Amino acid sequence: MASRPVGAAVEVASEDAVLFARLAADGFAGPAYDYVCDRLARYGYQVLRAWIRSGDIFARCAEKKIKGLPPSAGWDEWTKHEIDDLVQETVVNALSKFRRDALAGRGWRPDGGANLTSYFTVTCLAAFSAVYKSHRNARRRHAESVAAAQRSQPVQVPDIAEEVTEQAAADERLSTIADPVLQFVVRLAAEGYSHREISILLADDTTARAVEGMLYRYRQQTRRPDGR
Amino acid sequence: MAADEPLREVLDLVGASSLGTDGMSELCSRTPDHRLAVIRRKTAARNAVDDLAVEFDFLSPLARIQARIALEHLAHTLSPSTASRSGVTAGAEDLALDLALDLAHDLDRARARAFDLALAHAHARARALARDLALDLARARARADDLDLDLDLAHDLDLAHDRARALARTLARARDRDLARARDRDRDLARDLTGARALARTLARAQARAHALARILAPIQLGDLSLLSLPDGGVLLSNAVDGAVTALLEAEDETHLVSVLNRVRRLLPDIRESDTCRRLVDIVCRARDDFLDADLTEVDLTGVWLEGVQWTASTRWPAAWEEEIRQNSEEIALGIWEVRGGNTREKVLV
Repeated sequence: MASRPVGAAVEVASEDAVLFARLAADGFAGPAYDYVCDRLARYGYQVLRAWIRSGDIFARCAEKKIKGLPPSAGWDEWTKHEIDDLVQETVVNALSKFRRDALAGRGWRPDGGANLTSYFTVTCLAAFSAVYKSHRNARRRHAESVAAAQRSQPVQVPDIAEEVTEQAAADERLSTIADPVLQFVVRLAAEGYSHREISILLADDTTARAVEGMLYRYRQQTRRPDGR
Repeated sequence: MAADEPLREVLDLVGASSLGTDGMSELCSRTPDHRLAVIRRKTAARNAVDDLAVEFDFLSPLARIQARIALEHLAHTLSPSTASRSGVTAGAEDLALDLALDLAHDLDRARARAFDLALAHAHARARALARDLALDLARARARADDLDLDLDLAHDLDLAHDRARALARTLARARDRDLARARDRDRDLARDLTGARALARTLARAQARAHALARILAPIQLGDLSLLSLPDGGVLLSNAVDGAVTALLEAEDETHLVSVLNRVRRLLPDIRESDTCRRLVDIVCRARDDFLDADLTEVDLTGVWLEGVQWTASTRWPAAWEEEIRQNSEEIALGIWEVRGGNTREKVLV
C-alpha cells in the first residue's frame, strides 16, 4: 500500500472523505468496511495502550471534556493483561459507536475539523470512560473475592525477580525525566517504536524529525563525561 | 485478477487517507492478531444487534403484534434470569465459574510467590552488601593496625597515633552509616519489588489455567454446543430465533429482517457472553410491547396475545376492540397505558 507523509492535512481530509463515501455507499458493511475497521482497531489499540501506559489517558479525556473520570489514576495495580483487555473492549465500543453514528448520519464529516484517525481517537476516548469504570468496579469486586478465598502454598514458578529488577531500574531512570512528553517519547523509543510511530502516538503534530531531535538532545544531556 | 479489483481500490483509498500515513502500517502491525480477532468477533456481535434494532424500528406494528408470542419466547429464552440458567449454558457457566475461581486462586498464589521471590532477592543483595562491607572493615582495621605498628616503632608520634585511631573510628562510623543506608535501600527495593504488579502477569501457572478456561469455553464461543455434551439449551435458543423468524415472515415479507435475525443467531454465542445480550433482550422486548402511537385499525386481534402491550391515546385500535382494551389497561406513565390481564386475556389464545 502506498504511504504518504503526515502533513498536508487538507489533502488528507479530502482523501478521507473519498474513503468515507465509499464506506457509506457499502452501508458501512462488507469487505471494504471490515478492512478499514481492522485498520482503525489496530490503530486505536496502539494509541489507547500508549496513552494508558504513559498515564496520559485521563488528561487526554479531560482535554476533550469527557466527564465521569478522575483527573488521574495509577495503573500500578493493573496487570498487563488487564490493561490489554480494557483497551480491547474500549476499541470494540468505539468501533460500534463509529458505525452506529455513521449509519445515523451523525458520524464523521469532512468539514468537522478532524481527519478520520483523529475522529476515531476521540471516539475511543469517549468509549474509554464507561469501559474504564466498568473494569475498575469489576477489579474491586474480584479483589474482594480473591481476598476471601483460601490461600494455598506457593507453587513453583519461573524466577522473575530479574525481570522485575530490570523493570524497576528502567522505571527509575524514566522517572528522572521531568518533561512528561519526553518521558513518553523515551519510553516508546526504548520499547523499539520508530520515530514515525512515536510521532503518530503523540498525536500533537510532532513530526518524526522532531521526535528524533528530542531523543538526540536527551542522549546528549545524559551522555557521561567519558563520552559513553 | 478481476476479483482483487475492489480490494485493490480500498487499499489505495486507505493508503491515501489519514489511515495510510507514514509509519501507520508499522504501528498497526504491533497490535496482536489474537486481540484483533476478539475485537472483530465482539464488534460483529454488537453490529448485528444494532442492525436488528434498526430493522425492528422499520417493522410494521401489524407484523410485530402478530409475532408477539414468538418475540416473548425469544426474550424469555435470552433473558439471563431464565434462559441463562437452563440447559447447556448453566452447565458451561458453572464450569467456567469454577475455572475462573481456580484462576483467581492461582493468581493469588502467584502474587504470594512473587512476594517471596522479591524478598529473597532483596535479602540476597543485603547479604552480599554486608559481606562487602565486612571486607572493607577488615581492610580498614588492617590499615589501622599498620599505623599502630608504625607508632610502636616511633613512640614520639602520639599525635599521629591519635589521628590514626580517629581515622579508624571515622571509617567505622562511615561503614555503619553505609550499612544503614544499604538496609534502607534494600527495604525500599523489597517494597518496590513486592509492589510490582508485573510479577503476577507472566506466571506460567495462571496462564496455563487461563488457557484451560479458554479451551473449555471455545466450544461455546464457536457455537458448537454439542462438544460440551450437555443438555440442549442452545437448541432452545436457536428454536426461539427460528420461531421469531417464522412468525415475522408470516406477518410480513421482510427478507432483510430475516437475514439480520439469522446473523444474530449465528453470533449468539458472542452476544450471550457480553452485555450485548441485555441490549438484545431490550430490543426484542421493545418490539414486543411498544405500540405507542401505532395504527392497529386493520389488525384482526382475535387470538392475539395482548397482555403487556403499551399504547397511548394516539394508538388506533379496531373499533370493536377499543373499549375493551381501555377497560383492561392501566396507566403506567403519563399518557402511556399497558394492557393487563382480564377479559381481554380470556378472549385471546396464548
